[in-house]
Amino acid sequence: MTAPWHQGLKTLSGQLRRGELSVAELVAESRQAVQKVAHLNALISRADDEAVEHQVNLAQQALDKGTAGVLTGVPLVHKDIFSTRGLRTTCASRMLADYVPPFDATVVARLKTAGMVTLGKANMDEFAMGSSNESSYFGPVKNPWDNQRVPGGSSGGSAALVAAGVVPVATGSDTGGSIRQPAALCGVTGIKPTYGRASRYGMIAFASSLDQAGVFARQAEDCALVLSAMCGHDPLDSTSDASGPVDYSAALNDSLTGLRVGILPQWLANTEAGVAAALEAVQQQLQKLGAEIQEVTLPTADLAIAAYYILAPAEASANLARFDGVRYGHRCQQPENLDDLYCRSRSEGFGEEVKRRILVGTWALSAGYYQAYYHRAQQVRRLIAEDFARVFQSVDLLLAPVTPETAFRLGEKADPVSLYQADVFTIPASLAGLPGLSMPAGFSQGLPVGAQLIGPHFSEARLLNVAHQFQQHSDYHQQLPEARQ
Amino acid sequence: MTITRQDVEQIAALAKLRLAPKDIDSVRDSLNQVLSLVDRIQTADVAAVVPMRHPRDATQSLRADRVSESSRKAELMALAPATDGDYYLVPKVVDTE
Amino acid sequence: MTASGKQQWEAVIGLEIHVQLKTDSKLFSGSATAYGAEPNSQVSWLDAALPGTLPVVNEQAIRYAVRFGLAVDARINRETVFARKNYFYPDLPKGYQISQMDRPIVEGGHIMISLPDGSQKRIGLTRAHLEEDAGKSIHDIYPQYSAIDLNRAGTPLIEVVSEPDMRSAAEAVAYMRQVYTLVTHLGICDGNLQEGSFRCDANVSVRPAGSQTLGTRTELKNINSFRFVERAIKHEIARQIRVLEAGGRIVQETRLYDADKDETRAMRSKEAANDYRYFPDPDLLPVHVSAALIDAEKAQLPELPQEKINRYTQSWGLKSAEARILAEDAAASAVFESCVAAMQHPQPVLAARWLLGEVSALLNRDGLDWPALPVAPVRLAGLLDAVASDTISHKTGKTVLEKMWDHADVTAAEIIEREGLAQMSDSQALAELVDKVLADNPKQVADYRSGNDKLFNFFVGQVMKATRGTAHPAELKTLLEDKLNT
Repeated sequence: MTAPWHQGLKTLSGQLRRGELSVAELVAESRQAVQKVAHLNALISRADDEAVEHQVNLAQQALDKGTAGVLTGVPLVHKDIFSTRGLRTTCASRMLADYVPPFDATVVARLKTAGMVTLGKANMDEFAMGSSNESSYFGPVKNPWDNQRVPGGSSGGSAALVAAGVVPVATGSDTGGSIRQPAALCGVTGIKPTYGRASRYGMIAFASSLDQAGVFARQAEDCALVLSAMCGHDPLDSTSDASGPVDYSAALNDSLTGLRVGILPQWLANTEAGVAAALEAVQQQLQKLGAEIQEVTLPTADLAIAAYYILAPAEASANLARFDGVRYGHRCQQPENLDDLYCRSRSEGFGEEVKRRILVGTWALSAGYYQAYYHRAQQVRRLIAEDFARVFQSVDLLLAPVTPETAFRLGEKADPVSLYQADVFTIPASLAGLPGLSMPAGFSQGLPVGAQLIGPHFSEARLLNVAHQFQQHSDYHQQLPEARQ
Repeated sequence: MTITRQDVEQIAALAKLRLAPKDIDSVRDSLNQVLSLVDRIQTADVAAVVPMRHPRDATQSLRADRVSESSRKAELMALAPATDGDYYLVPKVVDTE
Repeated sequence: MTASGKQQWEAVIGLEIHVQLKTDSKLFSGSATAYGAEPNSQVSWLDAALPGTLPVVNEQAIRYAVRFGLAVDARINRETVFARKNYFYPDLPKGYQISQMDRPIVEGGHIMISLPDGSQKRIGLTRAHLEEDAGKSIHDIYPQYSAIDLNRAGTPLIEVVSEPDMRSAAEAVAYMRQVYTLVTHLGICDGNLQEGSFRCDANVSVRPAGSQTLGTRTELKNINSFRFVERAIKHEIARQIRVLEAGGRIVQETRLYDADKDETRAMRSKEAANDYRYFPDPDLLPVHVSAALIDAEKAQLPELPQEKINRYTQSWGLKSAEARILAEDAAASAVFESCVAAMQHPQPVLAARWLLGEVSALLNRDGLDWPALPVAPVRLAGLLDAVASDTISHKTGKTVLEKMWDHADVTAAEIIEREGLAQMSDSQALAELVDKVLADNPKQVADYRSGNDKLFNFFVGQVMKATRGTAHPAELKTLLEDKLNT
């Protein structure tokens, strides 16, 4: 039996409005389902009963009064990077293991206003630094398709819960691929909008010029509904775009006839066979729907990982300096002096990967290396952005692999640099600030494969339109793990 | 470019991270691995390329000079690991201004 | 130039002045900036650096910085960039200070200072950049803890960095005073030294006279009064010369001035080997300083003290010492100018002398500043008009001023009227009075006419007595002479 949200939020919303299902029943079902997949370790904190009940009541009242929107009463989990007032927000770090924010992130507040009911906080890589969800202080998340394998990261818990079919929606954040890569590895739809489209206020910073909030759902249509509610200018985030909310559902049914889709043969050549085959099939389907395929190149994109692993750690080294054991978060026992307080609190509070990135970033910014590394990486970043701009003069969007391979085994990529390669196809768009979407594109040896759509700035509606049209002609997004096991 | 043990100690001191002496070599090795990855940018031809400071080619929106916040003292003090109710407390700082 | 033994030494001094901007709210948050609030009560989520908070720039701080730049004839960078300066300190909540490195809002410019010999010297400015203030660490509450108050954290500052153009402690103080006068005049700083609104660090080095290369410098931190700046720099110059003459070397270091012991000493730890790792703050986009904003600030730019001095001396005929005293005190010059403007027949010289004379004396007597002046400029103008038109004498004017001082709502005209203090300049009435006095004192008239000239003053006294001092002295004299000598 599938969950009431399996056919999408529009169907679900109809049931709620007609009273065929109460918000309380819906939420109870989702909460129980989440409990049943506890072995995935996908949740760090559960919202307490009282808070859930309160939100349920508000949503039910709105439905009863006829003031409800399409998201009213829909349960979701937030990645544990989003500050939730009164609900522990750890960023999967010992540093914040007991931190209860006194305010809501803008994304959280907006979805609350839309009537969504927060069930809890999803596991992730510590401070969003990772591609396998293995760096969490609360332990790794398991891939619902194969519990020996990683769900991807850093938004691994969010992707795993949506993939397992236990919640209809989860938020995520994407710095170098942290929504798109786990969406691909778990077989769900995930979108990272254009940098600046969703507010970063209250989202714990990893790399400020790259971090962007987004959403996971089974299908593009649901992502469009949630994205419409969470995006738009926020006066509290001066890097958020000045434009107001957009209805991302409006163009979902536009025809793909004449759509110019670019593909990257060089990228496809570097993927495993099953991934390449799935991409080929997506390409053919889009052609059937009227799209024209063009081969393109992004010559500087192969420098993207190198630039990213300078820029992101550099920003992180400063962003994480506030965790000093003074105002909140972990503080060591009996500090001998101020330096001891700082060094021990931080060394105890941060995990290995976080410390590594802080060290790399500190080094890249330090006197004598700034020009050769940080400054140069910013120059490379521009070259990559210009490469994309050039490509988008001849195509409307790019169809690309999300990852070189399907979900790998837990512990398989022990050395950090091999793990960094997992984001090779997602990082370029992040550096350019472009929107990217990952949609289920098939299976390879029983594991999901994702296809990535990358468009010019503010082309989210187009990406969702293409994914939705593809999903009208495929059922990968509706497959559930237990059906395959 | 390679990082030495001494570099590691110096960076860690700047970042206020304490590394156990036995871990320094392995940290150095993993940093050098990362460096060999990022050193690929040295091959790029970046002459005359303006660094991209930010993905948004826009300018800052400004805020009117208005007091919009009230005291959050009680909530802030409750979050802090060591206070006397009025102040955050840290081990005595020597050599003060 | 400082002589010591055989060698002649020259000091080279540059100042970094932190000017707190007089905004209502902080540079990046909506918290109040008022001084003296309960500890940690003006601290928002952002000011405490809670995870996920983001800065939003206060436009007024940008405006104030632009205003400063215009006033010192500097270049305003139309695109200015905020950068993070990274270091750990308990009163710096984020672990970095948002400041500026490349493309500060103000570059270049200069300040003119007056030297004791009356000449002017141009002190170049390197830059003035915007940054946020830190909180306060309080060390004397607990024996084992430092206590942190973040109320001040995030208050906007401009750091005004001078070129190393000063050659003595006296020049440094003159420069510091000039900057102080300027920022208080511009209305961008409240100028409260006790509250730390205006703080100064000095970079000091010495070199053999005539040398063009700079010696190793030391930085003197947080010398926050004009007196301490002068003393601290003098001490540091003397110390460096002592070290060099003893064959030693100057170590580049930060030193603190100890006002109690009247000496400087090296700081042991704090920023010993700091590498601030500046980089552009990715939470803030470049700030575009629009032409409209610059024009608006230009229009708002008050007349600068030097311009005022020139106007007072050249157009209004004040002596330069008078002009300087009035021009350099914003409140005094405001009173002065309102007074002159309100007079029926403006007489700036008369107004200046009264303000610097009688009015200043009363202010001093009562321990008041110009802003607390009990007599509004319009009322002062009424008094000055009466003096200027000879309605009352200077001496009577003082009496009237004292009465006005104590009675806030009375005008000079009312006092003069009520107490009949106006000088009798009605010739007919005065002539009749003179006739009466002469008729009442025939003996004295006869003595005078027979040669006793001294009696002239007796008649003046009698008329003055009868008019209670309001007879116009010159007119009376003419009348008496006419009547007695015919």
